[in-house]
Amino acid sequence: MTHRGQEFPGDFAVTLAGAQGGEPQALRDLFEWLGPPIAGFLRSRGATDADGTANEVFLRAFRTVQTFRGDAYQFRTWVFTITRNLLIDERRRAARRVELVFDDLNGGRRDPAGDAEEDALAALGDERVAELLRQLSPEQREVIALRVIADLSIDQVAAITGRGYEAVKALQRRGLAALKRVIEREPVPR
Amino acid sequence: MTGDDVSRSAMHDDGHDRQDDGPTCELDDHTAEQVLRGLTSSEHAALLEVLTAWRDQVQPGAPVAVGDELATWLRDGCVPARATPSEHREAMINGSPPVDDNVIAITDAPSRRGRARRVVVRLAAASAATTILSSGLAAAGALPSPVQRVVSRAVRVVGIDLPRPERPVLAPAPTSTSRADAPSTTAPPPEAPFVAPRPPATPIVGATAEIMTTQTTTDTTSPDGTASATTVAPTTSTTKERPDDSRRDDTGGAAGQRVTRRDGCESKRPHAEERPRAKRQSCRVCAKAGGRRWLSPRPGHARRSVARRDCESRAASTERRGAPSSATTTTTTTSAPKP
Repeated sequence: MTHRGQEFPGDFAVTLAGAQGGEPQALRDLFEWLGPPIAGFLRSRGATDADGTANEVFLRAFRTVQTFRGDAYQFRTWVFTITRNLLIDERRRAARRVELVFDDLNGGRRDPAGDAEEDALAALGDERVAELLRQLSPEQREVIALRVIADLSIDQVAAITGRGYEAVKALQRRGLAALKRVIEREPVPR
Repeated sequence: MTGDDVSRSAMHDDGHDRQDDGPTCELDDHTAEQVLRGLTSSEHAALLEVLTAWRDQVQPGAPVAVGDELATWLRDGCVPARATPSEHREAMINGSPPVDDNVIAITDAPSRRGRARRVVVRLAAASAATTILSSGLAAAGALPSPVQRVVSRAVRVVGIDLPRPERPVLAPAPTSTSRADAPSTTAPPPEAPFVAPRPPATPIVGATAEIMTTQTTTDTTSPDGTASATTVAPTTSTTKERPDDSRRDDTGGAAGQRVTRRDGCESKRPHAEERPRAKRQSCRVCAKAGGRRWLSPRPGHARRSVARRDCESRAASTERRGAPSSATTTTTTTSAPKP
């Protein structure tokens, strides 16, 4: 199964060997190949600084690229796994910060709307799309984002999220069904 | 179980599906896959439109701003050093394990679990070696004397006899030492010879002389001519005689003198006058029954009452048998002469 953008533009084995040897051109090729989808995925998941987080993802990947063995398909899975784990860490830190701030301001009451994903949806320019995506659970949103925006296969999504193949399929199917139901209930614009 | 059921159960396991009660037959897996790939019919065009709008808004193809550190890497390149173990672990934490065996060989990095297992194995091996070594030394009697004594005493409880450390027999204190010159009432005379170990002396009870008057029976004749036996009350007098040499020790050594005990340890025994004397009491019940049982209660000895009950029961059984060995009617007077 091939996906849009999955193919590396060039000989991945040569590029990987160059990156493991520290060649700047090989590192640039890898960054140009995976940088944009990673930043887009981070934006879709509500990262506060998508570009900065993408930089951190590649720094970590380049520091340990010598240990990688595999092809382009597996390299893409590996880098997106680093991305997802960094995003989770960033959300935990943000949640702690928000908790501390609201503890100070509100005497311990937490902000019920302090959700990074809600903020991400609110940041979307299209309110209709944001309202539709709110109907999905966070897991469904994550799976569909990895499939649509990061352009990954079910196998890759299952490996990245740590779920089973069938669970990922069910999540995406139910998410799309929910989206479709909401779309069909919407009033027809005149 | 169909694939749909598997998917449904997987969703229930996840516990995050919000549309469990709603209709789910609108899309099957194949259609959902086609929608996600952008290969769908006009029936799902609206759904595809929403996904495309989402994709366009997050701009997954937009160039990424490069920071200073990453720019250095991309401009100058960097010959990455061999990843350190911490970097291996960091990569394992930040990135998931490879999908299949061909991906990433971070497995040579020591994991936390493996390191903990090695530490446990080393600790177990060290403790086992210590146990074996100390057991061998204890069996050979090569441990230091205090340790050997403690170990020997401990394992004797379970029936293992280990050699006990030998205490050296001390020579008599030299006369020129200040200890011998120090004035002491219990110090032996300087010319006191070394006293060899002796067998344990007999208990003090054996050294007590008992003087019991024998029972005297006089036959008398009653006025009606019948013979009756009148028993003259015997007088039992018990005299405790202390040994002549009151400075003599029970263990055979003179009091206040250095003696060598059975275990070879030399000690200085106090004078007999200085040692607390145990009270000695005679059991009246035993004496009444003709027995010669003595109680030698010691402070805190709880068996005294038991022994007394034993004597009483024995006396009762003797009386029931009706054959007292000494007399039918006896009056026992026990008198212990005061010293």
